[in-house]
Amino acid sequence: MTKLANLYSWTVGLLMRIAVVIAFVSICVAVAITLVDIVLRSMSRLSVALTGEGLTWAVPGLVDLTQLLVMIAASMAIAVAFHRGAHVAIDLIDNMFPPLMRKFNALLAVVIAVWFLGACLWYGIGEMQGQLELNTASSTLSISYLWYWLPLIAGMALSVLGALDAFLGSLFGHRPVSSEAEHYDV
Amino acid sequence: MSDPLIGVAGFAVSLLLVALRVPIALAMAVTGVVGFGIINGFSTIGFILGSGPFESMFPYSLSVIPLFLLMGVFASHSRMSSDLFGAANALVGHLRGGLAIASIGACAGFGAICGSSLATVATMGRVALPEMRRAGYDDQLSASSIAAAGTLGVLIPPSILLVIYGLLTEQSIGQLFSAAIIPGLLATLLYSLAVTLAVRLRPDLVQVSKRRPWAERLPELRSAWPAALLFIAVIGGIQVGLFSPTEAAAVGAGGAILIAAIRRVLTRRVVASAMWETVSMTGMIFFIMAGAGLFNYFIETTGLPQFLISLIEASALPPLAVLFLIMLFYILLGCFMDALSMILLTVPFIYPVIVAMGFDPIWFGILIVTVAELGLITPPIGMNLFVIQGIAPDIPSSKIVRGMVPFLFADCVRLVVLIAFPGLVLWLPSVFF
Repeated sequence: MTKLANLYSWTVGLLMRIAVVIAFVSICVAVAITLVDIVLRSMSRLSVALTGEGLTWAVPGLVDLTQLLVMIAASMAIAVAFHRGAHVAIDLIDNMFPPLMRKFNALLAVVIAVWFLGACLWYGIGEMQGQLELNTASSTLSISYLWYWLPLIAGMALSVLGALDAFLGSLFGHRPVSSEAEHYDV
Repeated sequence: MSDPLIGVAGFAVSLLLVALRVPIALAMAVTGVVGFGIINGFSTIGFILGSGPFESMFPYSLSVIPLFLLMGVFASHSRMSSDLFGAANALVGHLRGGLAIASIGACAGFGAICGSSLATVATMGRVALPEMRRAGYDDQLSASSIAAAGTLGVLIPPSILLVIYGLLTEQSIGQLFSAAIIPGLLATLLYSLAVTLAVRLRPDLVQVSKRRPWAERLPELRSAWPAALLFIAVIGGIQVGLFSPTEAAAVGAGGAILIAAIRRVLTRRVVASAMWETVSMTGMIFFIMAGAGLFNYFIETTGLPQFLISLIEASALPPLAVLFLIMLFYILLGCFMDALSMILLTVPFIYPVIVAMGFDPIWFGILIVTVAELGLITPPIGMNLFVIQGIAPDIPSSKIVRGMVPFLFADCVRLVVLIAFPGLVLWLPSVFF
């Protein structure tokens, strides 16, 4: 059983490493294209000031591209946060419970997570199919909405795997219990 | 049961789930979906389950979040924290309690390029705490001054909390940023005064450092220029209308990466660490936004905000008394919840009340962040206290908590001043926008 859990954990860990790279690269590309757009627009303004000639240099469809990149980054990032136990949770009261009760609470959180993410995945696929039938596309570059939906669906599926792995990890002891897991806040 | 009562019950259920250690985003999402199902019938929940997360994550305005996070993470890794501490130390280090005041100034400076409270405490704690301990400062003052000043990270722009409040209430992020500048400076001043008072009452808390000549101090002052430049480019760019918040965040992220590259700190380890940190925080915030989106949908359906407004109108309480009760509610809630979740969970029904009473939403945004800051340094779950104890595990938490008293007092004074003089908050936005 532990061997199977370890194999599962290794596979999910690999998927999460891929997801984190995809998310990070997406954020960096969003930064890069925004900076390029600023430079191009500044050059256009400078050109108007110097030559009086009105250039209209800019990154085409910057908003569409940024939305797509952030959608990819956020969807992957949610899964990564599930896997690392980085979603904000309060353990003040939980810490007062005996170990068995804490395990039950952890199980409750996983059951809720899997139910919610699974339901979002199921209905999300339906919603995506609806968008496809309507042929909806982004406003400037006419990118099909399918490309915005796919990372979200993939992220939901990965999140389910990540949440299960975090739980199995705490159950079999090869990962910290929730209160010792990573915690991020602003 | 009437719909507003279902709303109140939903709020209570989400608090119960949070108490059982269910992630806050999940607690809000599940309560929102189930509550919506109770009111509208469970056949309707498929629509919000399918489209809710997409709608919460799709808006272009949200792109500002990962970009500012990236900026903050690289700023933490690029040694700007030690430069800022060095510069602040060069200015005030020779005063009685000067190192603690320098830590507060450096936290304010770091908050201006970071946007996160925990990152500010974690980064400055590693730089300033050993210096203060080496200089013979009492642990109580050293640890508490950094933990308190770390809260400046969420107030001084660019602040992730203000970005989220702005997105949630459809207020201008640029206006919120300019509104936070004077309260941020006021907080820095009041924290410094708190240190001055504390060392006057208990001179044994500190050792006085020797005053160094300017020739020695000037290079340290100059070394803070990259951080100053980054702040001016990001916040100045928004204020003068050069950049939108997303563009400013990209400029900040690009600038922070460039500074780290020039300083040759962009090792493989640093990039990997920055990658995991940025992505984890992005995931955490976007999932909370998705959960809050579903919860808001439910709260709007219940008509709870309208119910609260009618209740307040019927009570004939003066608006200031209502505001006082709301602030008290936030201070108490802040003792048990983190700042981000507290804002996301309560703004859907508190914000309409505030607007209906004629209060300025920008002003309220600053007030809500100010009370959220209090939650970061009050036990039992003051996150900054945990972070500082993580850096110095040998300092007992009771000592840190005792040390927080003057800073909590300073925060209360600031809250009263900001309520009494809204102009302190609203003057800069009226100049720039």
